[in-house]
Amino acid sequence: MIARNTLCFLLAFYVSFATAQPNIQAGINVATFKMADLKGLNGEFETVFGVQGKQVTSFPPYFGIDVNFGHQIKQHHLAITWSRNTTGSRVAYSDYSGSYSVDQLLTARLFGGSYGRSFILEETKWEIIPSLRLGVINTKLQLKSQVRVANNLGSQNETFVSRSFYTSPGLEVRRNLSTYFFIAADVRYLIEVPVNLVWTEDHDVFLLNRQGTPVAAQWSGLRLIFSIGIKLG
Amino acid sequence: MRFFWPIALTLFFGCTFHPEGDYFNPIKPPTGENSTVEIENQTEPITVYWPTTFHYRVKPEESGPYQAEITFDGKLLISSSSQNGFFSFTIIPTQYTNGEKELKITATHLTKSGSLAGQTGSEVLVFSRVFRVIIDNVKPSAVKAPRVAIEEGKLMVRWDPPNKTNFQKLVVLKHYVVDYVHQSVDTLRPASNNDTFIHDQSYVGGEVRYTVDLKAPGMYLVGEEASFSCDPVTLSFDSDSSEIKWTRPLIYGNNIDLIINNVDHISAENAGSYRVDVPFGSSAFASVTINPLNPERYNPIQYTKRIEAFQGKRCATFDKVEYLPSDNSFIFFTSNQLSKVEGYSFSTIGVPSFYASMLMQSINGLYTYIWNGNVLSNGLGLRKTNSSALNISESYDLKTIMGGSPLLEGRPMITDNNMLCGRFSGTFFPYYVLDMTTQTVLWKGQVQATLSHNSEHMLRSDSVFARGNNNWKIFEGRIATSGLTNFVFYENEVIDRLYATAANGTLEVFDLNGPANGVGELPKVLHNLPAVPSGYKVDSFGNALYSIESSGTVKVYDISTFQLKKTITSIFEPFEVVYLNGSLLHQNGFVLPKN
Repeated sequence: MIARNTLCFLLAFYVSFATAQPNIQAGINVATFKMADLKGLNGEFETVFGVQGKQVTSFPPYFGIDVNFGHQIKQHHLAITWSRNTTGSRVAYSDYSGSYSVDQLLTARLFGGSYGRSFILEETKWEIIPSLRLGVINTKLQLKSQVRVANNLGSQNETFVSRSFYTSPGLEVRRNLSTYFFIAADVRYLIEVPVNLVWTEDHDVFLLNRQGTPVAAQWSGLRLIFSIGIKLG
Repeated sequence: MRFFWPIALTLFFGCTFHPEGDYFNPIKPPTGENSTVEIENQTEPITVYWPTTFHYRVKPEESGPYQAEITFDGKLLISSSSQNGFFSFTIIPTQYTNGEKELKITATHLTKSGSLAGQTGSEVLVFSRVFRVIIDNVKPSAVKAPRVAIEEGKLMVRWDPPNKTNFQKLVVLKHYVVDYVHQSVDTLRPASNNDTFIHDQSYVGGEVRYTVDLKAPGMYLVGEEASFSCDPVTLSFDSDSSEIKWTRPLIYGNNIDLIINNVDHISAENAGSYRVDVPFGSSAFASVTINPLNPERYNPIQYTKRIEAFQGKRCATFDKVEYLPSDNSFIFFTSNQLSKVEGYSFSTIGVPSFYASMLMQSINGLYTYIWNGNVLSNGLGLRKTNSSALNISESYDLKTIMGGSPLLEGRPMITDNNMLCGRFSGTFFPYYVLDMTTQTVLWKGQVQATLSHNSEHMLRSDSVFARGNNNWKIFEGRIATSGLTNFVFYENEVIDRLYATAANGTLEVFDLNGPANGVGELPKVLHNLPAVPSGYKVDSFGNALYSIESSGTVKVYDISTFQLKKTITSIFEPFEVVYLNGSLLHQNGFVLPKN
């Protein structure tokens, strides 16, 4: 159903802007994440077995993939955007008698649209494009715990998901290398409206913290995108 | 284009985050230094004499569940688990040979250490401890007979300590007889098995036996027996104060008191006395009971002593008694002895060597004659006593005096020097007057009458009185009257009277002096007087008539008017000496005090 809607949207886009110049832009982003709720969960995981574990990694900034399908009509830039980011954390403990770890692995797939206006510097090949993105974030949280005491090993793997909305203002600096190729650097800030994570097995089941409050992934943060593009027209 | 997918896949996986890293806590495994197992109330080496259950605890606390395995003498004894660390096991020594054995306790408990396994209850600590146990199946010897004695008023039982300590309880058993028949046993429990004496606080007197016994599971060892007996209190009776008196009990230090006459509880620490009120002429038993205050049993064993309480003075119980008006005394005869009571003085006159069936008093009051009543069987059956000199002065052989075997019956009469006697049954009645000084027959006669009853008769110097067919007949030509049922005879220099009760109950008084040797009835001096109870007597002075009733009450009548003058109910009420009720004296041997 979603795929059919998407095809209809793209067809309308191309018909409307038949005279425009299309381009494809792909790159790697580096993102930071707020993740306050899930960091709080790690604090709980540190003492879940009676020993004092430690967060050995906690939702660090990490690389993501960023792809745009855009059209430029004069100074206006319209694009469909898709990006993927992952991050995670680990709480771990080990001693002579055994070990345990609790991993959170988060994946965000962002899909949306973008509008920007190009400002071309005179007599140069540089463009400055302020833009605004809007879209949805499909979040997937894989929660893995593993305990080993002596020769006994136990593990648990649960998956939680959520769908939220975001907006992302940003400023792109583009250098046209030739008629068809360009490179760009884009700095943005993603603002998400968080939505509670639900269990994939039963969407009425929420992931709760020790206080009984549902928790959500919080993807808000800075994005720095490096990309290359190809002008097709 | 051929580089697209490899680059894309590399980018895809390269841009996927994988959590990494570890944290290691360098905590050390527990050493077990706080793990202990202790057997309660035992020190090594542990000696086992009888089936014994041992309780032990595995520590540290709050580290359950615990498990323990006991091996004894190389064999598994028991394996068990516990939530709180408390365990028990039992060793039955008879299942093993004597000697030292190894007891090994292997225990397991959670460490609850700071490690992950400790915190998740997956870490246990196993440790062992070995104890030395000595099996001793040899019983101790029986305890020798204890030593029982009264020490400072306390009955103490002492014994030598047992030669071994492999017993659980030492008890002292007290055996005694209850109600003369039943054997009873009390258990005295020393405070400690190491004690070698005990104070038997509940001992009250009498025969008792003690053993020191040793008890243990499956063993009861009876000790040698020791006997003890004592009469802890001495009673006496003071008839002057009418009090029973007792000495301080020998066992005054025991936990006892005294119960007097089953009622009054008093302290046993001192001697004491207790007044007992009993009527004269009767007696009652007063008792002093030694009573344990904290007996071992519900029905306490008591020790009771009794003593007869009475009022007045008491002489030996006698069979015959005569009043001697000459000195206000009594002569009485016991089963083999003639005695005299004068006031409170009791004197023995002599032993006549025969049973005195009769005591006969001479009219002048100087002598009392004792007669066995049978001249045929014993020629010396008559003796004269001098009650003033307190001796038996002479013996008489009636057979010799009377020449052959005299036919005597009834009660002879003694004048100053003569004895009048005869036979008063059947149709032939010989009648003798004997001179007791010369021991010759002064006169021998005969009376004839038909008499059906020969037990009531009187003799006078010149007459014979006897009762026959309910008529009083006077032989030698005189008769009193008919219908008389009771009479009393009195004579002296002043008056000679016969007192008798007529058939209608009135009292008749006859003059014994007239008419002399005549024919006809005796003259009545007083006639149809008020009735007087039977059994009356006339006092020695002839001025009163006394009736002593079986209850002991004495009624005194005026000798002239025969009106009741007074009634005497207490022996201490002053009155003239009377001729006491014979049956009362016969039974109890009491003598009234003389005012």
